Amino acid sequence: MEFGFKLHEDLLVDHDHSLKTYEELLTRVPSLAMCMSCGSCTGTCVAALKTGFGFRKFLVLLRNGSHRELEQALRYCQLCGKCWLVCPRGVNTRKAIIEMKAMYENKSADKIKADPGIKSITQGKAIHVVTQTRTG
Amino acid sequence: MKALFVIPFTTGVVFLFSALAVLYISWFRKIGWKNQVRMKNAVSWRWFIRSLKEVFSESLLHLRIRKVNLRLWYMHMSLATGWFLLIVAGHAESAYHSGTIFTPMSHATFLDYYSRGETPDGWIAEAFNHLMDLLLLFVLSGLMLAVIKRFRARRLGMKKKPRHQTLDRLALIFLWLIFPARLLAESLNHAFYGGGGFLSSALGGLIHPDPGYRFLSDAAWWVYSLSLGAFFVVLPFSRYMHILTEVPHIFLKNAGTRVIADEGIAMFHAHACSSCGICLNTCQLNDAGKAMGQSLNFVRNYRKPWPVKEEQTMNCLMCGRCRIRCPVQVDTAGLRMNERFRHHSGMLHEYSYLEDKRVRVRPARVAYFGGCMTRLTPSIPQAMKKIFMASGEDFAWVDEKESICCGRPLYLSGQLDAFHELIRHTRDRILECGPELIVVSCPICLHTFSQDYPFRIPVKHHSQYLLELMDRQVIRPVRTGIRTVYHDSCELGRGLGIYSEPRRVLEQITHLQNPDFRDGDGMCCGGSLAELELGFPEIQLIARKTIKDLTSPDTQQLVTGCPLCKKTFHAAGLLPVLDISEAVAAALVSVPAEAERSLSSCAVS
Repeated sequence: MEFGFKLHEDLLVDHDHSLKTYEELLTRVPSLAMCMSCGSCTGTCVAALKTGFGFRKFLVLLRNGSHRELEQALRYCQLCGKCWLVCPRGVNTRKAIIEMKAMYENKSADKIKADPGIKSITQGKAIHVVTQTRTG
Repeated sequence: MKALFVIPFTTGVVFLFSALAVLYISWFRKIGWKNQVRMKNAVSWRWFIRSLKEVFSESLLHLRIRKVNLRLWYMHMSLATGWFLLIVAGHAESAYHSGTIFTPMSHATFLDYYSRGETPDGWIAEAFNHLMDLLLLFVLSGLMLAVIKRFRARRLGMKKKPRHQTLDRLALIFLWLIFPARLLAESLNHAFYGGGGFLSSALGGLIHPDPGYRFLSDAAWWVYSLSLGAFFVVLPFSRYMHILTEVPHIFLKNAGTRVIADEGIAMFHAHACSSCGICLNTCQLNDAGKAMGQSLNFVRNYRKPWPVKEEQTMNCLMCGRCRIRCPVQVDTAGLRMNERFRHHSGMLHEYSYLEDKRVRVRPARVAYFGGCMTRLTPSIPQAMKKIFMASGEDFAWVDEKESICCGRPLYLSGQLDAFHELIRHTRDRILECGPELIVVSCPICLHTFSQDYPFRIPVKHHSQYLLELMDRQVIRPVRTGIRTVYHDSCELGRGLGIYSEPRRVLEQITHLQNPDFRDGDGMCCGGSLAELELGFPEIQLIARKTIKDLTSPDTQQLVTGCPLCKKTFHAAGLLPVLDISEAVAAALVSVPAEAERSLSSCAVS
């Protein structure tokens, strides 16, 4: 059925959508909820300087469901802890990194990698597919 | 057939020794080749006599516990030594009665039952009776203290007592039952059949039962035998395994064997732990209120066949205080590292981005390595720069443009493969300037460099370097007289044994309030990189407690040798915190003008 107007995909916010992997990580590292994406962690990180992947980006990738990129990015971390020490919100970044690494390397990694994350909303792919099929 | 009651005892003994044989053989077979070589090299008369001496002084007399608390020591000592002497004297008495030293174990244990109605002939038999009673009284006095400790642990100097699990509690009940049951059995025996020493005959006389109730005596022997048998059956699965395992553990420990990456030696260490709880009382996690991973709990779970939970494995500052205080010297840190390797060793890594050839370090005599933590405390490298320039040293700050990690955090988290990969990069970066000496500001890095890096040149902490400069009078800092307390960081003190050099430096420039130190007494700041479970507020609780314990009300500044400790203490905001290099740099008066100009122009990130 057509109503004469379209959904603007970039403006969609789907509150029903759950970020399973992120929320699972949140239960193990509750301090992640304190992150305000200030970027202090990235600013102090040598791996971020060299590769472009800092802790803030790890969280963005996780929420977006970019698992392949995140899995690779986590391997750059030296676990030196500067990000943890400079964090103004007291986020336990080192534990989060170890947990994420463990998540991607344990037996249920495939299940985690199948989690689409928020990407399906921001890029509108999932909904786009649905609308396409509806409209025929 | 009349002595059927010995069956539980005999069954227990047979089960115990069979279980021990199976377990010990399996652990010995797991010992790696490196430790096997160490063991072969260590075998000598000197090693044997030293170990035997330690078995007597620690497994029986528990002399290390004497330093902790006298009452606690008496409890442990009386139970161990008393029981051991009861067994030895019991066998001697049995041999005396039967005329041969090859008497069955049950005969020696239940001798009073077998010698019912026999009157002691001669003073030796009489003396044996009194001796056995005296020893039993000795053990019972220790048992009384053990009961007090269970309900009022503070009376025995224990602020925090261990919480035992089901099997341990079961074994405890049987153990507590053994000695009162023996006293009752002997007393009733002597009440009905005469004889006995000063204690059992007196108690028998007090009970004074009707001769028609002779079956009570047999019943009491049954209770004694059952409690012994049950204890022996539970023993291999409980903390009381330490009673027997301490002996091979001491011999293996003195042979120079190491726990790291060796499951066989690790099992001996884990089972030698008696869960006495001394480690709980020395652990600083008590101040943080999050202490699920304390050594006692961790080692207890390490003994189980399944892996220890990640939260418990990672909830530890790895400060080493428990290892120093442990009466049987269980390598708690080594066991924990083994578990961390098991959890995280195979994690993937990628450090090729560090092979950036654009980062060049100019050749110099001294390579100065600040370490990651000095990036967050830039006043330390700045102070070191000032000192280097004042002394006219040819130095290169190798991680000035690009911070690179020594790898210790990776090692402490258990990522062994990543650690080995990273140290290759860091070593290359440091050696690029062709130095004759490496000066390090971070004790965490220094510990790794001295243990795991194959450097052929000396590596020094900056406090050692500063002392050398001051001794040679290359730099002459003035005495400021500020009332100062020095904090021994865990890695520098317990880890590397560097206690006196920083103190000698500070004594020359300040009024040092704690010039004396006791090896191993240093306190952790709480901000350890080995810990993954604590949040910022909990770390601050530890830091504040440490500052309060170390300083007195008139202390003007706290000086430390570790940038991470400095940062953690600084956040507590209780008093000014300085690194030792800053204290020295501030006391320098005659700095060359060239150095001053250079410093004012250099931007430290």
